[in-house]
Amino acid sequence: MAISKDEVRKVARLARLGLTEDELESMAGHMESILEFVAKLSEADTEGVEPTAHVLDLTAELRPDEPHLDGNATEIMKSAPDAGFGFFKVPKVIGGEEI
Amino acid sequence: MNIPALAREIADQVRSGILKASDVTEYYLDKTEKLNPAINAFITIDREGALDRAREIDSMVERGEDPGPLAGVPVGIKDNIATHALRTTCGSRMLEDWVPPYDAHVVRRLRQSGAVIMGKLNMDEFAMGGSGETSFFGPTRNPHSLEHVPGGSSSGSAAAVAAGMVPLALGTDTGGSIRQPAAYTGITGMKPTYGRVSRFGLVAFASSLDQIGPMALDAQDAALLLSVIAGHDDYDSTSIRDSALIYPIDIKEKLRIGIARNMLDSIEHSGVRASMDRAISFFEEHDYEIHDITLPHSEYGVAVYHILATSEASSNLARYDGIKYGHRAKDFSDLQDMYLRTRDEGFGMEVKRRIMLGTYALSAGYYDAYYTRAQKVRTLIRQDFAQAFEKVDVIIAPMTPTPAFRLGELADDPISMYLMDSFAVQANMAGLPALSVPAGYDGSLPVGLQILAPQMKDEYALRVAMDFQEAGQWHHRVPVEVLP
Amino acid sequence: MTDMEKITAKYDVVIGLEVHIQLKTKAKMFSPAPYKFGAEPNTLIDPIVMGLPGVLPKINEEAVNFAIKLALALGSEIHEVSRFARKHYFYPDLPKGYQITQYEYPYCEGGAIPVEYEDGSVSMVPLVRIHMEEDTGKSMHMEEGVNFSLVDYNRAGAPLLEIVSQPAIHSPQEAVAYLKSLRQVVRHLGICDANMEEGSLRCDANISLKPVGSEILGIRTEIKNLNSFKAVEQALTYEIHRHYDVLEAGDSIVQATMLWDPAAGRTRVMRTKEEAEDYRYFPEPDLPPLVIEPERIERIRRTIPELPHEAKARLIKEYGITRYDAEILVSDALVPFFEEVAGRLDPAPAKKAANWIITEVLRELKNENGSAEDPPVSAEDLALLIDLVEEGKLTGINAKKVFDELAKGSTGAEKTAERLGVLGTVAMADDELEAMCRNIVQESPAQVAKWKKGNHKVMGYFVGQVMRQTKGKAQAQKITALFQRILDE
Ligand SMILES: [Mg+2]
Ligand SMILES: [Zn+2]
Repeated sequence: MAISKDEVRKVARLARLGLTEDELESMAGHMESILEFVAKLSEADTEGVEPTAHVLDLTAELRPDEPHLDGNATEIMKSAPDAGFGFFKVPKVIGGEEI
Repeated sequence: MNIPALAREIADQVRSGILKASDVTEYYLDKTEKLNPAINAFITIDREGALDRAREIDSMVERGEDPGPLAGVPVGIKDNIATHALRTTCGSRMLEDWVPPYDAHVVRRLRQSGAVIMGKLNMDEFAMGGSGETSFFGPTRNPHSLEHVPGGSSSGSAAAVAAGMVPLALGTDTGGSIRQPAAYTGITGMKPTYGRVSRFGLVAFASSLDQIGPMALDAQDAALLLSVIAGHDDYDSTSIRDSALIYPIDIKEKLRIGIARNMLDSIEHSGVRASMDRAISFFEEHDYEIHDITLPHSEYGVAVYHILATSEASSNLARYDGIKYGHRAKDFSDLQDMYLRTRDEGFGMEVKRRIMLGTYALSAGYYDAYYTRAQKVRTLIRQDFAQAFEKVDVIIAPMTPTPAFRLGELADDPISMYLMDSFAVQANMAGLPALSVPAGYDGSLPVGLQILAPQMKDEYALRVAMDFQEAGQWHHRVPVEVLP
Repeated sequence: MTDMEKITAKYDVVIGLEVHIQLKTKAKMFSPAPYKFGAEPNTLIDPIVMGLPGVLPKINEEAVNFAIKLALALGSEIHEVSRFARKHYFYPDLPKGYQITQYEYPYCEGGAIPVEYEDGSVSMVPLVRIHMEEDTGKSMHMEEGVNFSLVDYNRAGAPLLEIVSQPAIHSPQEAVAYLKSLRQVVRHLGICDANMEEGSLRCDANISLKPVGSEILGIRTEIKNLNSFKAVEQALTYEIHRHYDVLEAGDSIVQATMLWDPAAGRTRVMRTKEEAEDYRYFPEPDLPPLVIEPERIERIRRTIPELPHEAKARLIKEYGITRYDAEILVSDALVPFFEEVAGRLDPAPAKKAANWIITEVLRELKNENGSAEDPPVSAEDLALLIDLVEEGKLTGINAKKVFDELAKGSTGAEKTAERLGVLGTVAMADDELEAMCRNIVQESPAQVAKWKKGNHKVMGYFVGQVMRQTKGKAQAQKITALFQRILDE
C-alpha cells in the first residue's frame, strides 16, 4: 500500500489544508503507516455482512413545523472574523453555487 | 471549615443549609488556582461566573427552594462542550476565541440541577489524542506524577478530578477519551450508552461514536452526575426516548460477569496484569457467577475506529473555514488561499493527520475499501457483544495495556499511541456503556478496570463498579504530587 | 446561426432537468428557524442553520409531508426507509462544509411530470427520483474591482426538493413547458410558491446531442443557475448550437459544468470533469433512517387535489365549460369554489358559474388581494344570484350591484336584492314597455339617424334610457329585441 506525494497533495487540496512540501512528505509517511495498519481489516470475513451506520435501532424523530428563532443572530454575527453591512464578509467569490 | 471531596456530600450539606455554596466554590476555586499552573487542567477558570451562581444557590436555599441534586457542586466542563458566553476552544487555535451563543443540552441540565460551572477543561485538540499533549493550550499533567500524561482526550477533566480541583467533571468519549484518562489518573469515568446523553452542544469529532459522560472520584458520584445529564433531548435525533437514569442505582440481584479472555491474555504489562488478576479474584470471592467470553473481532477495533472516526472527523471539521467564527488567516491572496492558510494555521498536526486520513478514506475510489468495509467489521464487533451478552450481564476487561506513559514518550509514534485504545474503542463501536474504575497501582501510577454492559444497562456497570470499589478502596488514594 | 431544424434533422437533442423547489414550510429543513424571501440579511439564522460547533439537525415533519404529497401527485414510488447523507464541498454560502441531502437512498423514485402544451396536449416526462435536502445561503458578488463578497445565511437550511428528470426532453421549448407544468403542479399542491425570481424554483439542465436514431447518448454538459424561463430557453438553445458546431467540426464535447451569462448571451465553462469536486458522500451520522409509514402516506393521499391537467379535462367534460375558462379556474385555484357553485345551480347552466367566477370573483380577489380559499361571496349566494338572473327575477346589471354588496359583507342574495329594491323584473306589461321604448325613440332623432346609418353602438344608449327609467329592472335582452324591432320598422 504505497501512497504517492501527489495523491497526498490531492487529498490536502480536497481537505483545504495548506501543507508545505515537507509536511506533505511527512504526511505521506504517516498515512502510509496507518493504511498499512488498517489493511488488517481485509482479513475479516465480511461476506454478506451489513454495514453499521448507526449503533441504535432508532428511526428519525420528526420536529413539528413550528418556527422559532433563538434571537441570538446578533450574537452569532459577533463571532464573524470579518463582517459588514449585516453580512459575513469573505474574499471575492467566483463561480456558481452548487446544491 | 470542612469541605467534602465527594459531590453527593457537598450537595446534601448545601441543600440542608449546613454548607454555603459560595464557601464551597471559593474553596475549590482557590485550590484550582493554586494547582493549575502545575497541572494545566483548566483552559478557562470562570471565577466570577461561578461565585455569582454559588450565591444564587445560597439565596435559593435561604428562600427554602431546592436548587437541585447538584446544589453547590463545582463542576468542570471539557472544553468541547458549548457554554453560553463562556469561551469554548476545543483545545484548538481554531476556536481560541470562540464564545458560543448557546448552551449545550448537558450544560442546561447542569445549570438546572444547582451545579456551579467552574470553568472549561483542557483536552487534546478536538478530542483527537490519547495523552492530552495535542492541546493548543499546552499539555496537562498527571497529578500522580507530573512527568506522566493524564491520558486523553479528556485530560483536563481527569486531572482536575484526580487533583481535587473539582469533585465532578464532564468528559467526552469517542474511542476511550473518558475511560483511558480516568484509568491513568485513578478516578471513575464512564461513557454512557450511545444516545443516552444528548450530544447537542458537544462539538462533534466522530458523531456516530461521541458520547458525553461523567468523571468523578467514585462510582456513586459518577452515577449522580449521569442521572443529571441523561435523558431524551428533542434536539438530538440520536437521543433515546425514556433514557433517564434513576439515582441512586437500585439493583439487588447479583449480576453475571463475563471475562473478555482474549483481551486479558494480550496484556503484557505485569502491573496491569496483577491488577486484573486481583479484580477477578475479588469477583470470585464475592460469589459472582463468572463466565469466560471471547470477542473474536476485537482485534480489528482500533483499525475500524480509525477509519470511521477520521472519516467523520474530516466531515465534521469542514465547517472551520474562517468565515463564520473561529480563526482566519491574516494574509491570503484569494478565497481558496484563505481556506488553505486558515485551516493550516488553525489546526494542529494530529488533527490535520486525521482530517487527511478521513478525507482519503471517503474519497472516490477508496470509499468502499475503507469506509464501507470498516462499517461491516463494526457490525461483526457488535454481533460479538450481542452474543456475549446472551449469557452475562456485564463484561470486565482491562482498560489500558499499560499505566500512564511519560510526556513526549509516544509523541513520534502515533500508531503505538492509537494502540493504547485497543480495549477502549470496543464499547464505542457497539454503542455500549462502559466505565473505568480504579483497580490498583503500579508504583505511583493508577490502573483501571473496565466494565462494559449492554445498551441502556448503564446501571449494571455502575452497580458492579460500586461493589468492586469497596474491596479496593483505590478510589480514595490522594495523589502525592499535588498535595498542597 | 444554423437554424434549429437543420440541427434536429441530423441530431436528437437530449435534455434532462434538475429542478430545486423550495418548500413553503414555516421552519427550515433541520432547524426551527423560519425563512422568508427578502428579510434583512442574517436575521433568520440560529446556531443550527449556521452549523455552529455542536449543533445537530432534526427533520421538519411538514417538509416530509410535502415531499410525500409531490411524490403521490407525480406517481413516484415512495420508499418506506430512506436515508440522509452528507455532500462535501467548500463554498462560503455552505455553512457546515457539507450539505445534508439524500444520495443512495432517496425517499422516492420514478413518477412523471405531465407536461402540457399550448394546444392542450399532454405528454409525460419520466422522473429518475426526487430527494429532500437543505438550501444554502447566498453570496452577493460585488462589482469589478471590489475584492470581497458578502454572505447572507438567511436562506441556509430552507427545505428543498430536488426533482431529477430522465433525459427525456427534446427541445428548449419542451424544457420550458416542463418547468411551467411542474410549477403549476407544486403551486396547485400548495407546497411551493415556485417563483423563479425569488429563487423558490431553480433549474439546472444537462444537455447532449446524438445522431438521429442512435442509441448512445452523447457527451453532456450541465448548465447551472438558470433563473428564468427565458434563461432556460436561451441557454439551452445556445448550448445546442455550440454542441452542433463542435460536433460538425469533428471535435468532441468536453464534459463540463457551465454557467449561463445572460448579459453576454452565452454559456461559460465553470469547471471540467477533471476539476470535478469529489463530494465524499457518506451516511449522515446525526440522522437515523427516515421511516415513512404507510399510514402517513394514506393520510396525505386523502389531501391531494387532482393534477391541473386532469382537473381541466374533467371540468370541460363534466360542466361543458371552455378550455380557456378551465385553464383560469385551475391556475387560480378556483376549482373547488366553481364546483360548489355549479353544484347548487338550478336552473342556470354551469358555464354561467364559470363566467361569474372568472370575471366578478376573480376581479374582487385581485383587487382585495384575497385568496381563493376565502372567496368574497359564498357559493350559496353566488349560485342563488345566478339563478335569479336565469329565472328573469333579476337583471344582469342589478345582479352585479347585489354581488358588490355581498362582497362588501352583506349576507343573503335575495335579501340584499330586496333591500336594494331591484328584485323582480319590470312589472310593466309588454305593451306598456313597448310604449316606453317608442317614446324614447321619438325623443331621440339624432340617435335614430345614427342607427339608420348603421351605427349599431347606439343601442347602448336606448337600453340605458329604459334602464334609467325602470331603475334597471328591465331585462336588457328583452328591450334590445324590442328596440331592434321598432327601429327596423
Ligand atoms: Mg444535484
Ligand atoms: Zn440539490
